[in-house]
Amino acid sequence: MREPEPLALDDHDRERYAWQIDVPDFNEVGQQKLKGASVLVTRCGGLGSPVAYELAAAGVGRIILAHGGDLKTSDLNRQLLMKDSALGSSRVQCAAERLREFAPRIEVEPVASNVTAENAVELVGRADLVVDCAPMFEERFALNDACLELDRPMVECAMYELQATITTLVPGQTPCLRCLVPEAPPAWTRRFPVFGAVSGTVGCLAAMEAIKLLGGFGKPLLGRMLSMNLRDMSFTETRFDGMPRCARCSRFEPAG
Amino acid sequence: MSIRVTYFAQAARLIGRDTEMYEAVDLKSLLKGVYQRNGSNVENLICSSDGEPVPWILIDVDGELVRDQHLALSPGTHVRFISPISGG
Repeated sequence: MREPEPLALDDHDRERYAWQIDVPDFNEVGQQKLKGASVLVTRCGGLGSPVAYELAAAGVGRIILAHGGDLKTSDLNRQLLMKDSALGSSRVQCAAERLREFAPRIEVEPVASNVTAENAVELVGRADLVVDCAPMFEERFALNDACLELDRPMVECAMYELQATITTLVPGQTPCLRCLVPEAPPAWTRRFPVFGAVSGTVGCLAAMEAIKLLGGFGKPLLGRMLSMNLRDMSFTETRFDGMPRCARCSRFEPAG
Repeated sequence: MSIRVTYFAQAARLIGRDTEMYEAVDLKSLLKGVYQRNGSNVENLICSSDGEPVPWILIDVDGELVRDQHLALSPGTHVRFISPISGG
């Protein structure tokens, strides 16, 4: 796993991030790591919007947003970085503008395409960490494979109706996405029912996972998947650190 | 009835409820029971008629993800079928 190069804070940083610098096991050292970090957020829709927004709020120095396509009316129940006046224009440009307005001192790199097997390694290679907010399993598998190849952690979040899941996958420390889901479920479709409050909930959790990993504090969801049902507000943890590794990531398994 | 089964996400929608109770001595017999009770519409999401789980279903037994169909189940076990979901 590539560690972000810490960057020195100035007086503006200390004031802007004062409330979180007060967290004892994060403090100025963690803030310096965030400032020097690069995060790839794949898609900036229902999940990616709150993820990117919270990462920008926390002071992650560079956020790369990858998302193709233009904004549609039906995106607006959940895609919080969009705006009504941007209907019909590029989603990723709209998201980048909103982030720059909110946090002008961070670097935002919009990429107007989705992740594919062809571009995944190049995009992942620009980042210290990936937050996977992609809707289709083919895209998620491409990210997974690139993260394995380049030794990058990936925060995995997903949602459906009032339910959501999240886990953090780190090469050499946890099984990978293909260990968990060897094949794309044929019943999964691009369009599915969901509330924006559900994507917002799990998006904020995903951002917190990224902040912990980059800042080097807390206990990320390694080898554990948190599933939540917001119908009854139940949160359940599933351990999977002992499961067999797939062929792609078994090379990371500790010897002996 | 001793094994509590809960369904997550698309699995719950497919079954039409979140929870069922079963008698089963191992995971394979439980899966067969799920098929018998709910019919062939579980084939794409949970298992086949002979109790073979589909590769993508996540099966949580008392908080641990399992793959072994012959895993013994004892009274009071909680089995969760988590159909994989995605972002967007």
